Amino acid sequence: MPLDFKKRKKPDSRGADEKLRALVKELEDIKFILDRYAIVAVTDGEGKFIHVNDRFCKISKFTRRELIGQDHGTVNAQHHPESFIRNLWQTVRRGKVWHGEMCHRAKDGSLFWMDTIVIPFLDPSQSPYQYIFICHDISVRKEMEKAVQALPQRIIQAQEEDHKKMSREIHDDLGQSLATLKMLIQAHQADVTRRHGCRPMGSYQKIITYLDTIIDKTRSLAAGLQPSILEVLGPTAALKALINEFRYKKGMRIHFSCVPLEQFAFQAEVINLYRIIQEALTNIVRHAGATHIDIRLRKFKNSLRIHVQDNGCGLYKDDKPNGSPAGLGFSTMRERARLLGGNLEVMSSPKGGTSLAVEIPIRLR
Amino acid sequence: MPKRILIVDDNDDFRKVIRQYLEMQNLGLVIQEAKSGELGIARALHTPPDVVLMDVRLPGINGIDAAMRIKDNAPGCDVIILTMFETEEFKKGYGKGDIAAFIGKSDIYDRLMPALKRCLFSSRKKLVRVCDL
Repeated sequence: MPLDFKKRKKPDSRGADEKLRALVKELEDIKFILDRYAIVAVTDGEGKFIHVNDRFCKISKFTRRELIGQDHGTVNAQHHPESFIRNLWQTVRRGKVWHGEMCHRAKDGSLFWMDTIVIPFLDPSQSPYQYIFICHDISVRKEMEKAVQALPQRIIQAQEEDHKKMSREIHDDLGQSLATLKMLIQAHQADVTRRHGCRPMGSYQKIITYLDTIIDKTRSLAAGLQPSILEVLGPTAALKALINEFRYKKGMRIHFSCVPLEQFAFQAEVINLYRIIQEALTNIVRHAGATHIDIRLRKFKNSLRIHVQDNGCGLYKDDKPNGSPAGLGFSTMRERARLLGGNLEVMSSPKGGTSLAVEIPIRLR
Repeated sequence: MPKRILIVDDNDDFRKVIRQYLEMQNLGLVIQEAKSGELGIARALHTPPDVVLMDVRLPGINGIDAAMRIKDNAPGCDVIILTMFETEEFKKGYGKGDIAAFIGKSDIYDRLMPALKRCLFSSRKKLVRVCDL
């Protein structure tokens, strides 16, 4: 409800002073409460500050003298799109109250967030002649929201780091020790053969065969935790290896085209890109019943566009319309796309298969 | 003049076993060791080896890059990669490079000596394509 002070009736002459005093007292009380509990600024019709309370000065780190007469844009953080600011002013200029959360920039360049109500003061012709901004500092809440939003990404990063460490230990330490043991046994076998002039019992060969099996398992375990080929040969070769694994082990027909990824720098570890495609392929094999997959990674301006399309049954068995599902590991894939600074979209229809599109920013190395 | 072998691997036990294995062959080899790519490059600069037995994943510079650096300084030297990696893609990725042989660490007993002898004693050194191994 906009404030319409100029419409108030003038007090009767009888007892006018008392009423006026009471009114002034009431206004002073309201101002006291406002100043105590809220961050308050008043601008004229042009949006120039005509009053700021101490709390506004404190949070913005400007002095009152620096603010008075200046445009409200003095504390604009340039965080919001122009349409957001335009909407604010269009609303209040129409005489309506605007409520929203705004990011501002203090004098020292630091950002702060305020939950803001802007109330226009209307003249007798219902035109706003000034605006009061009543705000609350929500910077801490915004920081927490940001942290909560980033939490899944931090968990993914921590998980990848753990996997990398475990993979290295299994691959380089345990695997290497097993390979050394195999070599020692083979040397011993040769030594026994040489000394006794005949081949030793088959138990040596059994041990060696069993060791080979353990070494293979160790290698698979390490590769499952962290594809070491990615680290050593780079993302393009690692993706080719992944595609070939799905081709040969899962019998999928996969068309794969990819620009050389080594030329690009990504915002986060490239393993996230690898995992998105790995997860997409795993989903298709497990759930889609597809026979053909088309995977394309192409450069478009300053982004890398990844498109994975299958000819499977789609995600919605109950014939729901196209949309973007949350389950099936898509949320993790989406967080990985966010980690890379991009976004992920999944579209599916019952007979049209599933299409996954990821766009992430890149820069040339 | 004895042939020189440089073993570059960060695993102490592995280097020791390879050294013992090579010494058992009675080929009169002079064996040097380095536990990182950087140390391997430094050793090779000081005393150029005939053959380098190189691990791939090392602390600091990786084995492939270290091998190429060594070959820059000693073009006649052969490089045999010894690694726990054994995917076809890995071999393809580096098979085209100037690498004499690519041997999985679990196959050393069967494959190392033939490859090493080929490098050391072949009258006409030829590169062994990884896919042929």
